[in-house]
Amino acid sequence: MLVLSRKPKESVVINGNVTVSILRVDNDNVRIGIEAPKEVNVMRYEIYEEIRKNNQMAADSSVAKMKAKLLVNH
Amino acid sequence: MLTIEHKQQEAESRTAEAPELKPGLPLHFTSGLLGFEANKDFELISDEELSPYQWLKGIDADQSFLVIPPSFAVEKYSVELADDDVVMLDLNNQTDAVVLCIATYHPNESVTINLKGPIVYNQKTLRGRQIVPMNAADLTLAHPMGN
Repeated sequence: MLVLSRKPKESVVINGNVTVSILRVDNDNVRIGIEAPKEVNVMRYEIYEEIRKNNQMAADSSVAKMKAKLLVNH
Repeated sequence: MLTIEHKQQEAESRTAEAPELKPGLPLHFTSGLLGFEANKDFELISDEELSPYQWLKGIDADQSFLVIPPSFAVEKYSVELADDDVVMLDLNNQTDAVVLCIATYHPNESVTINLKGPIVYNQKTLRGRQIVPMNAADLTLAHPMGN
Protein backbone atom coordinates (compact mmCIF):
# COMPACT_ATOMS: atom_id res chain seq x y z
CA MET A 1 0.00 0.00 0.00
CA LEU A 2 1.24 3.46 -0.88
CA VAL A 3 1.25 5.68 2.22
CA LEU A 4 1.41 9.46 1.91
CA SER A 5 1.18 12.30 4.44
CA ARG A 6 -1.12 15.16 3.48
CA LYS A 7 -2.22 18.32 5.26
CA PRO A 8 -5.69 19.86 5.08
CA LYS A 9 -6.35 21.46 1.66
CA GLU A 10 -3.75 19.19 0.05
CA SER A 11 -4.69 16.49 -2.45
CA VAL A 12 -3.53 13.41 -4.25
CA VAL A 13 -4.23 12.63 -7.88
CA ILE A 14 -4.94 9.09 -9.03
CA ASN A 15 -4.54 8.13 -12.65
CA GLY A 16 -4.67 11.78 -13.71
CA ASN A 17 -8.44 11.96 -13.40
CA VAL A 18 -9.34 11.26 -9.78
CA THR A 19 -8.51 13.84 -7.12
CA VAL A 20 -8.80 13.12 -3.41
CA SER A 21 -8.55 16.23 -1.23
CA ILE A 22 -8.22 16.48 2.52
CA LEU A 23 -10.75 19.14 3.47
CA ARG A 24 -10.70 19.12 7.26
CA VAL A 25 -9.31 17.11 10.15
CA ASP A 26 -11.15 17.11 13.50
CA ASN A 27 -9.69 14.73 16.05
CA ASP A 28 -10.39 11.26 14.60
CA ASN A 29 -12.61 12.54 11.82
CA VAL A 30 -11.14 13.31 8.40
CA ARG A 31 -13.30 14.99 5.81
CA ILE A 32 -12.25 14.23 2.25
CA GLY A 33 -13.47 15.40 -1.11
CA ILE A 34 -13.29 13.23 -4.19
CA GLU A 35 -13.48 14.42 -7.76
CA ALA A 36 -13.77 11.66 -10.32
CA PRO A 37 -15.30 11.08 -13.74
CA LYS A 38 -18.94 9.99 -13.59
CA GLU A 39 -18.11 6.47 -14.69
CA VAL A 40 -15.85 6.00 -11.66
CA ASN A 41 -17.94 4.54 -8.87
CA VAL A 42 -17.09 6.12 -5.53
CA MET A 43 -18.73 4.90 -2.35
CA ARG A 44 -18.05 4.16 1.29
CA TYR A 45 -16.08 0.96 1.68
CA GLU A 46 -18.53 -0.61 4.19
CA ILE A 47 -21.47 -0.13 1.83
CA TYR A 48 -19.53 -1.48 -1.13
CA GLU A 49 -18.49 -4.52 0.91
CA GLU A 50 -21.95 -5.37 2.20
CA ILE A 51 -23.54 -5.08 -1.23
CA ARG A 52 -20.69 -7.00 -2.85
CA LYS A 53 -21.08 -9.81 -0.32
CA ASN A 54 -24.82 -9.84 -0.83
CA ASN A 55 -24.36 -10.01 -4.61
CA GLN A 56 -21.94 -12.89 -4.18
CA MET A 57 -24.40 -14.74 -1.94
CA ALA A 58 -27.24 -14.12 -4.38
CA ALA A 59 -25.18 -15.39 -7.32
CA ASP A 60 -24.17 -18.46 -5.36
CA SER A 61 -27.60 -19.28 -4.00
CA SER A 62 -28.52 -22.79 -4.95
CA VAL A 63 -31.77 -22.14 -6.77
CA ALA A 64 -30.06 -19.49 -8.84
CA LYS A 65 -27.41 -21.96 -9.89
CA MET A 66 -29.91 -24.65 -10.68
CA LYS A 67 -32.13 -22.41 -12.76
CA ALA A 68 -29.20 -20.84 -14.54
CA LYS A 69 -28.05 -24.30 -15.56
CA LEU A 70 -31.54 -25.12 -16.76
CA LEU A 71 -31.62 -22.00 -18.91
CA VAL A 72 -28.20 -22.73 -20.35
CA ASN A 73 -29.26 -26.24 -21.29
CA HIS A 74 -32.30 -25.10 -23.25
CA MET B 1 -28.35 -37.98 -45.56
CA LEU B 2 -31.13 -39.91 -43.95
CA THR B 3 -29.38 -39.97 -40.65
CA ILE B 4 -28.97 -36.24 -40.67
CA GLU B 5 -32.63 -35.66 -41.45
CA HIS B 6 -33.62 -37.98 -38.69
CA LYS B 7 -31.45 -36.13 -36.23
CA GLN B 8 -32.88 -32.82 -37.29
CA GLN B 9 -36.41 -34.04 -36.82
CA GLU B 10 -35.50 -35.36 -33.43
CA ALA B 11 -33.95 -32.07 -32.47
CA GLU B 12 -36.98 -30.17 -33.71
CA SER B 13 -39.44 -32.24 -31.76
CA ARG B 14 -37.31 -31.92 -28.67
CA THR B 15 -37.28 -28.15 -29.04
CA ALA B 16 -41.04 -28.13 -29.40
CA GLU B 17 -41.46 -30.03 -26.17
CA ALA B 18 -39.12 -27.84 -24.18
CA PRO B 19 -40.77 -24.99 -22.28
CA GLU B 20 -40.73 -21.91 -24.43
CA LEU B 21 -38.30 -19.26 -23.33
CA LYS B 22 -39.04 -15.74 -24.32
CA PRO B 23 -35.99 -13.92 -25.60
CA GLY B 24 -34.33 -11.93 -22.85
CA LEU B 25 -33.97 -8.19 -22.70
CA PRO B 26 -30.29 -7.34 -23.26
CA LEU B 27 -29.07 -4.96 -20.57
CA HIS B 28 -25.66 -3.29 -20.53
CA PHE B 29 -24.11 -2.39 -17.18
CA THR B 30 -21.23 -0.01 -17.85
CA SER B 31 -19.85 -0.62 -14.35
CA GLY B 32 -21.03 -4.20 -13.92
CA LEU B 33 -22.52 -5.12 -10.56
CA LEU B 34 -20.71 -4.41 -7.30
CA GLY B 35 -18.09 -7.11 -6.90
CA PHE B 36 -18.68 -8.26 -10.48
CA GLU B 37 -17.35 -5.24 -12.30
CA ALA B 38 -15.98 -7.23 -15.22
CA ASN B 39 -19.37 -8.62 -16.26
CA LYS B 40 -21.17 -5.90 -18.09
CA ASP B 41 -23.71 -7.62 -20.28
CA PHE B 42 -26.78 -9.36 -18.99
CA GLU B 43 -30.04 -10.66 -20.26
CA LEU B 44 -33.23 -10.09 -18.28
CA ILE B 45 -35.28 -13.22 -18.71
CA SER B 46 -38.89 -13.68 -17.72
CA ASP B 47 -39.60 -17.21 -16.64
CA GLU B 48 -43.25 -18.01 -16.02
CA GLU B 49 -42.33 -20.64 -13.48
CA LEU B 50 -40.67 -18.04 -11.32
CA SER B 51 -42.91 -15.02 -11.84
CA PRO B 52 -42.85 -12.37 -10.35
CA TYR B 53 -39.13 -13.09 -10.14
CA GLN B 54 -37.02 -12.70 -13.25
CA TRP B 55 -33.54 -13.85 -14.20
CA LEU B 56 -30.70 -11.45 -14.72
CA LYS B 57 -28.34 -13.74 -16.55
CA GLY B 58 -24.73 -12.88 -17.31
CA ILE B 59 -23.89 -13.24 -20.99
CA ASP B 60 -20.10 -13.51 -20.78
CA ALA B 61 -19.96 -15.12 -17.35
CA ASP B 62 -21.82 -17.88 -15.58
CA GLN B 63 -23.40 -15.47 -13.16
CA SER B 64 -27.13 -15.24 -12.70
CA PHE B 65 -29.25 -13.30 -10.30
CA LEU B 66 -32.84 -13.71 -9.27
CA VAL B 67 -34.46 -10.27 -9.35
CA ILE B 68 -37.89 -8.92 -8.49
CA PRO B 69 -39.66 -5.56 -8.76
CA PRO B 70 -39.69 -4.12 -5.23
CA SER B 71 -43.43 -3.47 -5.46
CA PHE B 72 -43.93 -7.19 -4.79
CA ALA B 73 -42.11 -6.85 -1.49
CA VAL B 74 -42.82 -3.46 0.00
CA GLU B 75 -45.70 -1.03 -0.24
CA LYS B 76 -43.56 2.04 -0.33
CA TYR B 77 -40.06 2.15 -1.74
CA SER B 78 -38.30 5.13 -3.09
CA VAL B 79 -34.80 5.29 -4.44
CA GLU B 80 -32.99 8.60 -4.51
CA LEU B 81 -30.55 8.63 -7.40
CA ALA B 82 -27.40 10.73 -7.33
CA ASP B 83 -26.93 13.07 -10.29
CA ASP B 84 -24.06 10.95 -11.63
CA ASP B 85 -26.29 7.88 -11.67
CA VAL B 86 -28.97 9.79 -13.56
CA VAL B 87 -26.38 10.86 -16.14
CA MET B 88 -24.85 7.39 -16.41
CA LEU B 89 -28.28 5.89 -16.99
CA ASP B 90 -29.16 8.65 -19.44
CA LEU B 91 -32.46 9.10 -17.61
CA ASN B 92 -34.38 12.02 -19.03
CA ASN B 93 -37.72 10.80 -17.75
CA GLN B 94 -38.40 9.21 -14.43
CA THR B 95 -40.87 6.93 -16.19
CA ASP B 96 -38.04 5.35 -18.20
CA ALA B 97 -36.50 3.94 -15.02
CA VAL B 98 -37.21 0.37 -14.01
CA VAL B 99 -36.16 -0.75 -10.54
CA LEU B 100 -35.37 -4.37 -9.64
CA CYS B 101 -34.03 -5.87 -6.45
CA ILE B 102 -31.64 -8.81 -6.22
CA ALA B 103 -33.02 -11.78 -4.31
CA THR B 104 -31.00 -14.26 -2.29
CA TYR B 105 -32.24 -17.79 -1.82
CA HIS B 106 -30.91 -18.98 1.53
CA PRO B 107 -30.02 -22.57 2.44
CA ASN B 108 -33.05 -22.67 4.79
CA GLU B 109 -35.21 -21.85 1.72
CA SER B 110 -36.09 -18.36 2.87
CA VAL B 111 -35.72 -15.55 0.37
CA THR B 112 -34.53 -12.04 1.10
CA ILE B 113 -34.25 -9.13 -1.27
CA ASN B 114 -31.73 -6.33 -1.31
CA LEU B 115 -33.41 -2.93 -1.09
CA LYS B 116 -30.14 -1.16 -0.31
CA GLY B 117 -28.40 -1.81 -3.62
CA PRO B 118 -31.16 -1.97 -6.23
CA ILE B 119 -30.68 -2.34 -9.95
CA VAL B 120 -32.03 0.46 -12.07
CA TYR B 121 -32.23 0.31 -15.83
CA ASN B 122 -33.41 2.70 -18.48
CA GLN B 123 -36.02 0.88 -20.54
CA LYS B 124 -35.37 3.16 -23.52
CA THR B 125 -31.58 2.74 -23.70
CA LEU B 126 -31.38 -0.64 -21.88
CA ARG B 127 -28.50 0.64 -19.78
CA GLY B 128 -28.42 -0.61 -16.23
CA ARG B 129 -26.58 0.14 -13.04
CA GLN B 130 -26.51 -1.15 -9.51
CA ILE B 131 -27.23 1.92 -7.46
CA VAL B 132 -26.34 2.84 -3.92
CA PRO B 133 -29.21 5.28 -3.37
CA MET B 134 -28.59 8.49 -1.47
CA ASN B 135 -31.09 7.20 1.11
CA ALA B 136 -29.25 3.84 1.42
CA ALA B 137 -28.83 4.26 5.19
CA ASP B 138 -32.62 3.89 5.57
CA LEU B 139 -32.80 0.77 3.40
CA THR B 140 -32.20 -2.86 4.26
CA LEU B 141 -29.87 -5.34 2.60
CA ALA B 142 -32.04 -8.34 3.44
CA HIS B 143 -35.76 -7.70 3.36
CA PRO B 144 -37.53 -10.98 4.11
CA MET B 145 -40.01 -12.17 1.48
CA GLY B 146 -43.24 -13.86 2.48
CA ASN B 147 -43.98 -17.28 1.08
